[in-house]
Amino acid sequence: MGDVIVLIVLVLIIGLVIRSMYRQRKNPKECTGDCTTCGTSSCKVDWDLIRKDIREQK
Amino acid sequence: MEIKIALAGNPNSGKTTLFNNLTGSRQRVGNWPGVTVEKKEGSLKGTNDVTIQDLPGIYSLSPYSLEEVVSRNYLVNEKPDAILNIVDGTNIERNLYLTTQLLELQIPVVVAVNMIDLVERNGDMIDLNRLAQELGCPVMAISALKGKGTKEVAAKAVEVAKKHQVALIPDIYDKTVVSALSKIQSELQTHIDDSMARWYSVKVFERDERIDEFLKLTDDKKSKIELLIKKVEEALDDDAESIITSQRYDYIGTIVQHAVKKKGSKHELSVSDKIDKIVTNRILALPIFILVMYVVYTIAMGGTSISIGTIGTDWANDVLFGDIVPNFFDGILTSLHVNGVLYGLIMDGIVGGVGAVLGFVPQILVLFLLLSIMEDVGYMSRVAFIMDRIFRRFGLSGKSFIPMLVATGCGVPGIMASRTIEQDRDRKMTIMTTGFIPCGAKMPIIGLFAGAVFGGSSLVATSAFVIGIAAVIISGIILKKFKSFAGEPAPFVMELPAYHLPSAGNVLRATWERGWSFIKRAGTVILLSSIILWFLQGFGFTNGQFGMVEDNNTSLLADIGNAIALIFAPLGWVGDMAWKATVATFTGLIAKEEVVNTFGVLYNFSEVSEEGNEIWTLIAQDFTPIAAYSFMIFNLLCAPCFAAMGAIRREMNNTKWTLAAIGYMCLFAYVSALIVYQLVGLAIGEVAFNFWTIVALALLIGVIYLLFRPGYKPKSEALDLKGMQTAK
Ligand SMILES: Nc1nc2c(ncn2[C@@H]2O[C@H](COP(=O)(O)OP(=O)(O)OP(=O)(O)O)[C@@H](O)[C@H]2O)c(=O)[nH]1
Ligand SMILES: [Mg+2]
Repeated sequence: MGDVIVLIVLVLIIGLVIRSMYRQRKNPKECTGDCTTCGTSSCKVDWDLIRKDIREQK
Repeated sequence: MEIKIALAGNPNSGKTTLFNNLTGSRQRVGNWPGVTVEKKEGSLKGTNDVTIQDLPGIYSLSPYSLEEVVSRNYLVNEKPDAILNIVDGTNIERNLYLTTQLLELQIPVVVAVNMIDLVERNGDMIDLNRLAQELGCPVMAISALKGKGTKEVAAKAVEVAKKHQVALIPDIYDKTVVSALSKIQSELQTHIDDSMARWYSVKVFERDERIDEFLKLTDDKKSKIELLIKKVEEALDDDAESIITSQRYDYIGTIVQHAVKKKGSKHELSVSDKIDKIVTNRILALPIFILVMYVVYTIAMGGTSISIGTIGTDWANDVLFGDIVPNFFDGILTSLHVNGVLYGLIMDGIVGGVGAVLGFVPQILVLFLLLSIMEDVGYMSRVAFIMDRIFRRFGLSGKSFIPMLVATGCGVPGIMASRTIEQDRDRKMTIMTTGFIPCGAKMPIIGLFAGAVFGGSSLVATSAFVIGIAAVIISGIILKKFKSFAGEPAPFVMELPAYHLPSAGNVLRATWERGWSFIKRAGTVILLSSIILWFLQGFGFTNGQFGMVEDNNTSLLADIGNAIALIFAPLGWVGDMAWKATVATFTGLIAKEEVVNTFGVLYNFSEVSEEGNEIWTLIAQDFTPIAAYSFMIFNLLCAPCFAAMGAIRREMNNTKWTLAAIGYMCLFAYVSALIVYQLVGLAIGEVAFNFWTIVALALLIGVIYLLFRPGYKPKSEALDLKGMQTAK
């Protein structure tokens, strides 16, 4: 009995953790305090293009 | 109607501070220029149709740097409804240069004179009405930091946006230029919309190539315009761009003369200047920096009575995760009569593993708090300045140091901050070396070994930071001699902001941001891997039968670990610790604090941790000091975590370079750890002379050769130098 309860709680926690990690990956907000999402979708500036532009101008 | 307001201003003028104040968001504020490298959006508090844009700091709208291009493209192409121009009140002259350019865009502008608190404290006077009159746009004083006047200035910006109230074109240029500009304007008429006429004609006058491309003028018109420009150039005996620049400065000079009264004469040294005389002194600067870092690490991670961080961590390890938490779970699990395996998983795996990581939170918070204070006070910008002087000698620009400062929190934004470096070679090199700086997640590794093996020595902790910086400098020198990296460093202009008292809000926010991400990872990634690790180390073959093992040294994980550990044997990873250290190194790729988590799980097995610091004692038994140090060096310098590797890939945008960067880091880490283990070990009599001693010696000679060989010199620049010498 006790095993079952503990297992259920454990599985629930693991499920929640995986879900929150998955969400974070899929839809990173501006800054979540978790650096792993920085610069993914919140970054809209194409730096490579700008760099190329500048170089051409010089 | 939706209204877009852009915050534009010089670097470090307080745009982001105002942005946070107006939108209630928490963007990173830093007391050095270049903190915001891409535009950020938020909506004005209390409204839902007003969007505020935070732009990177710029000195002018001429595209000299990447940040300037980002901001200029936004302003010219996307035309916000109003520009809120933040002007640093303590440095009005220089800040107004951008203002005059913004006014020419003929987008409604409101000028916010920021840092008015400092202006008042200095006893300076700024006549806002006079300024408004001269500039022809509303001017208001604010203190973004104290939140004074910010609401009013935002309301004013919304008002001018709604009325589309553009400023009168300021009377900047003299007659000759103005008449030329209006002639150019009439040539351009069919190409542009009227409101931007002045801006475009000035740009065409300056011969801005980008604008040329954009306007697609006919050759006939082009030659007409060129004739006009030539005439002015001849009349004023200067080139067009300089004419515009110098007339702008003259104009600003008169405005400032009328509207600003500085107290005290200019020759008097301010307090900031006096402090700078000492801390940026050519000889003293570096020792002072190392001393400051030593004090910081002593307070955060040392073993003295002022080491608040360590006191907190000791409590967390001994009491919280050594007593309270285990007893709590033990109580529940025992009363539920749980199965032994499940009990082990939860107590040894999860509580042991996650607890081992969380125990370091106090040390990390204290460290981040101190670093944030140093940054906010303004000392870190001095460090960048000092580093520029050192880096420059080796052909690296000080601009490379800003990413490294950011990386003390987390390597990912650090690597991303390298974007603003223009030259590809310098940027690549910065990306390759930024990972050497110990980030927050590496702190537990340092804390664990400094505490368990070295008796809480602050020297060991500080040395971790010094090794990081040394790795950057050594790599810089070595790499710069290769053809792909050779070349003069880019100029690095950075003014030093005046020192000021740290603001509690900024400091606490920065500390919490960094600390919270650490705690969050402990509750997610670390928790999951604790569970997986616990299973992996619990099973193996005993007498040919697969099943649970009594001693995790005989588990399958141990067998695999031991096999791979052969690679690391020359670094002194031998005996029972070998497989554990190897597994920890590999799990460390997920996130660096996994190293500590892994030890937490692996050393908890079949040990009932009666006394809190059981793991520490076991680690102290397993690791000789020199092996511990070699392990620490390797893990601080080797390939960073997957997130950082991802950032490297994104920034390099090239598989070969990504692999080269990661490969270089691993190689550098291995060679450093080998040299330290074999040669220092031999010197202190811990390691006997063996085959690897010779290898280490050869590698050391190799490194010294790479450091001092002449290296590749690009031809054109070598010629330039010669030319300059003969010219003298
Ligand atoms: N005393 C005082 N300090 C201020 C004020 N506003 C901003 N600061 C400080 O100025 C520094 C720079 O602020 P930021 O908001 O990061 O400046 P920024 O213009 O966004 O800089 P970049 O993004 O790098 O261009 C921080 O240390 C702020 O605390 C103010 O009104 N008074
Ligand atoms: Mg900013």
